[in-house]
Amino acid sequence: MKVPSEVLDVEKGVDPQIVLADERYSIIGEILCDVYEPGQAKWSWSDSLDKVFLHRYLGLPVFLVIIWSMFNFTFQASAVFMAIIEVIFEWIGSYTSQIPIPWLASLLTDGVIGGVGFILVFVPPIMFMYFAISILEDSGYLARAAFVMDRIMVRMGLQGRSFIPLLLGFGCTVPAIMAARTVDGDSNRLTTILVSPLMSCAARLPVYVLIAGVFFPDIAGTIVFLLYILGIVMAVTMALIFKKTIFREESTPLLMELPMYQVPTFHGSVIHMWERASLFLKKAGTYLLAGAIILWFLANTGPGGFGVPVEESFVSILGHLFEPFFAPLGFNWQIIAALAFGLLAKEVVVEAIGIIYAVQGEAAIAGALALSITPVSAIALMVFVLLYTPCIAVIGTVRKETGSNKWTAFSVVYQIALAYAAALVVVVVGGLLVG
Amino acid sequence: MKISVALIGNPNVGKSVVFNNLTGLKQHTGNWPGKTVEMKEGYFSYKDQEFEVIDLPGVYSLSARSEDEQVARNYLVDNRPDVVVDVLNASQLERNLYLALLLIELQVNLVIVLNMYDVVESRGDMIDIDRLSERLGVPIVVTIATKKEGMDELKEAILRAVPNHVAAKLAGAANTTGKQHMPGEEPKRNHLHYHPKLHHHGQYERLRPPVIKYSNKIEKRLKQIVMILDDESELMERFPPRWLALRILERDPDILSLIKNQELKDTLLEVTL
Repeated sequence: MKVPSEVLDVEKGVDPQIVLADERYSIIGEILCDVYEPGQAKWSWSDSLDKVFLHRYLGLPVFLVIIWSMFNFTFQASAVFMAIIEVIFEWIGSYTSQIPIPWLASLLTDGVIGGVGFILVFVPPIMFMYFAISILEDSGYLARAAFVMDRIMVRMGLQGRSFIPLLLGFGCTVPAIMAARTVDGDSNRLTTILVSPLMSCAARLPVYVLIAGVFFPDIAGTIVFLLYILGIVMAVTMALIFKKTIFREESTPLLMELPMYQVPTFHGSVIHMWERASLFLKKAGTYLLAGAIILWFLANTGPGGFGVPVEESFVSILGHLFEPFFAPLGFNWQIIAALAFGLLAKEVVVEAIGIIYAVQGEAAIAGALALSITPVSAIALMVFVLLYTPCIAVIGTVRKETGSNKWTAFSVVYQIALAYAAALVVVVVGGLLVG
Repeated sequence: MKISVALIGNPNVGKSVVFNNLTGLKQHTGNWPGKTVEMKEGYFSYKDQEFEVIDLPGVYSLSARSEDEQVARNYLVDNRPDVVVDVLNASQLERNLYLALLLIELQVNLVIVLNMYDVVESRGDMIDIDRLSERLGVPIVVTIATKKEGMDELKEAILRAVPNHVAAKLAGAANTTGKQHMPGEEPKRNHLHYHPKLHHHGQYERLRPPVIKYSNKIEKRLKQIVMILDDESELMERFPPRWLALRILERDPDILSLIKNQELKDTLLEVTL
């Protein structure tokens, strides 16, 4: 906001804002003298917890262990529920596939159930993750985590204040980018907008859960944890690179109040979890359902008309179009097509994989996936999904917040390039390690 | 007709817990138009009266510097909710009272909640609630929101804080058919043409003078500013005059930008501390 010049013109050397603030505090002080009597008991356990959580060296490892436990909890707690939802949709599918009108049977079974039903399997991990995050937040730990990260970022010469928007990025990138408004300094703000999408949002979780669950069932929680950490590391690294190359501006330290530790209420955490789940369900019932029908149609239609084999469909053509580009990463055309549709929204990646394999006639997607790419490529795929442009809503938000087509285009292009480069590193290094 | 209640407080004082306790699952989340800040709206009824609660963002002050503060302030100024509930962390009174003082400046119908009172007790601190309430001129409710303690008392306090003209209107609402339009009345929440003195329940709101006054020197300046602004009916109807004067004295850029007449602005800026 532009401050009119007369506002800054403090001729007499007294800032009226400060005078009034002083006045208010002196009234408060006087009232407190009158009504408040401090007790003898000391409040110490909050301080002793902070000694560990905010410890100069222990702080970061403790943060990592807590987040790691959170992802493991998410996986272990949700496994049963995911299996139940899967069975339910299989059961519904066994009925819809009996519908005597073949195209309707295929639309319902392969398109709606194969797509939306498949994505709904991932509601439990999203719910449990938000349950865990809500507990961390309500207990007061998350603010400490921000404090620990801030210390690291400031030491690297970064704007500590931007960690708050970045933290929001774990939920959804769109509010994270908008929260960059709280970052002062135009270039600091732009840096935050550019790196926020690298933080792994909730929509990317289903992709990790699917791929990690298929390829690394025993250490899925750890894999997802590492992806989230990679997101943070990449965001910090890129911010540092932007800072050193494109922008130069002073950073102001983050002033943050650390809330007291509290025992989180079950009620509050459940409400938080339900809020997130209902947002997701709403999305599934509207956009993702519409997307599933369109995807199903495109997977069944090609230049040859409706009802062509999936290999001759538009989806396949799209996938094959980019095949040379992705060949070094070892992705097959099904995954490439899914990634292309994933530019709309990250949930669509999972949805598209579900539909394409369903239309192909694969009953067990897990088995089909395991056969189609190598485990190293699977990691590369997850890294690619982590880093490439999150969704069109984010592109729109970046455009709105920066007000510049140039920066919007830059944001999209650099993220795809970064995703590709990082995935390539995974494939090369992984290839060397595996043999 | 529902009684509108706005919930405000510093961050991390248990405001959302109070909100959840009041409204249960009768709530929905929306976005402030054109803003990034999320708002929650919920409903509850108490003693046959319907209440509509809005959860304002957690803020430390009401300067228009950050988006959160701007949203909270604009909501209070433009919508003039019937009752404003300020949730305080009872164990951090000094800092939390700052916002309470700013709300007193705004001359809203305030109810103060001293939340987390268990922490105060566990520390062995003593707060003379009655005296505090008297000094601030605001009713005070003690709660432990995480244990749902004090919620009925809070509802009672909110009901009691409903201004007379609204209560009278509500009592009469049963025998009038349909909504009465007063001349010049504008649609609800159309803030550009909305005069807060003409309260959205369709009657003139009489602002109660704040109990807390500042030093003579400041109050004198405020009177000076209000006198200069006497003819500016648009500004004077839109904002509580004393609050407006305080903002001008503070050189609040948002308020100053509303004064288009450069000559008038210069006269106002000559009043300094």
